[in-house]
This record gives sequence, structure tokens and C-alpha cells, in this order.
Amino acid sequence: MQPMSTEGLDLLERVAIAQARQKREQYLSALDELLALFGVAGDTASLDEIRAMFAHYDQPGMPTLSSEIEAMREER
Amino acid sequence: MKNVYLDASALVKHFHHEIGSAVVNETIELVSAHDPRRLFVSALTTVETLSILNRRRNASQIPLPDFIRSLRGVIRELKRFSHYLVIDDQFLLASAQYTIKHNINSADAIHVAVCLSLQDALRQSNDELVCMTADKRLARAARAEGIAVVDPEQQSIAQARALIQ
Repeated sequence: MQPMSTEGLDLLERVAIAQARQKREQYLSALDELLALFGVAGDTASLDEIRAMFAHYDQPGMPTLSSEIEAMREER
Repeated sequence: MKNVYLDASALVKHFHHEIGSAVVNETIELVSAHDPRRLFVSALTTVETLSILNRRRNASQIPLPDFIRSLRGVIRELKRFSHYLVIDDQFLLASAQYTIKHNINSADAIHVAVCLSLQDALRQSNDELVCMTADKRLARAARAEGIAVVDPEQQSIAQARALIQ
């Protein structure tokens, strides 16, 4: 997917793209705010550390997270 | 290289080792190496992923400081993906048609609607979409709507690679 060029677009199209970019920025800010809820200065685990942590606390017979998501969706 | 949309049932395999993790991780690495902007998630993917990880925290009795440290890492990873943001009230209502058409739950219907919208947008620039999900109902509905699907629990790395390239 190529970066979208605004060349040749009319004013309404440019406004639509600007609004979409703003929406994306707001969404990413919301993720940052979510992080801030857990402490701005907090340490962050690497991907390997995340995997190791879940593996460490997994107990025998636990379902996969994927199957839990399917179950959660059906519960709603 | 096609674009890949991950629902939460696929994305969680990136953070938790389970059946299908190798296919998900290989796909993310493959697409990232080519163009990371081709990896898509939605707000629903994000919320479901965080929610199920918290559920696992409760079930596994993971200490809160350890979990929060990991959650921060998960959010940081999520920010690497392209976030396809189309879900609003009208979109939610429109997705209801898929619950009836395919006899699926509301979350699956929203994922189908997101995939169709994304596929439509990508086709305008001659691009294609593959949906990666381990949810069997979602996979069935997406295929019925003409969306290519990779199920990391059912397909090998080679099969996934062939579909995505």
C-alpha cells in the first residue's frame, strides 16, 4: 500500500484525509493514555519477556487464549 | 505481498505461545519485513486482546506488577500495527446483517464488516486482504463473504506464506 498523496484532490477530499489522520492520532493518544493509567514511568516488557511471563504462569490444562476469545464472544 | 488483518484470536498467539503461534509470528515477521503498514488491526482487536490477557491474569493469578509490565509491552507492540478505524454507531448497526446472514455473534460480525470495508478500500489501489483468525465461525463467515482467510491453527507456515505472498 503506497502512502496516499493529496496531489490532485479537491478540498473535500483533503479535509476527509485530514480528519482520518486526526482520528488516527486521537486513537493512538488513547492507547498512550491507557499506558499512563498503569504508570508513566513504568518498566515495559519486551516481546520475549511477555511470552515468558505468560508461559511461566500457565497452568496445566488451561485453554488456549484463542479458544477463550471464541468462548468470550459466544458469552456476550 | 498482501495485507493482513488480524483479529484477537490470531493476535494473542503473538504474545502467548500456543497452537498456531509459529504461523502468526512468521506471518507478522514476513509482512513486517516487506512493509509493516500492511499489518492491520482494529479497535475491536485491541480491546479483545487486552480483555483476554486480563482474564488470563485472573485465571493464572499473575502478580499485578508483572502483568502491567507485560501489558505495557503489548500496547507498545500494538502501536506497530496499522489501525483501521471505521467502527462507529452506523457501522455497528450495519454489521448486524452478518449476525443473521451467517449466524454469528456480534464481535464476529464486526470483524467481518471491518474486513469487508478494508478489502474494499484496498481494492481501490489494487491491493488485497487476507484475514488471519483462529475463530472458526468468523473464518467461515469471512470466507462466505469472499475474504481470503488464514487459520493459524489449521494451516501450516508454508500454506500461510503462499496465501499472503
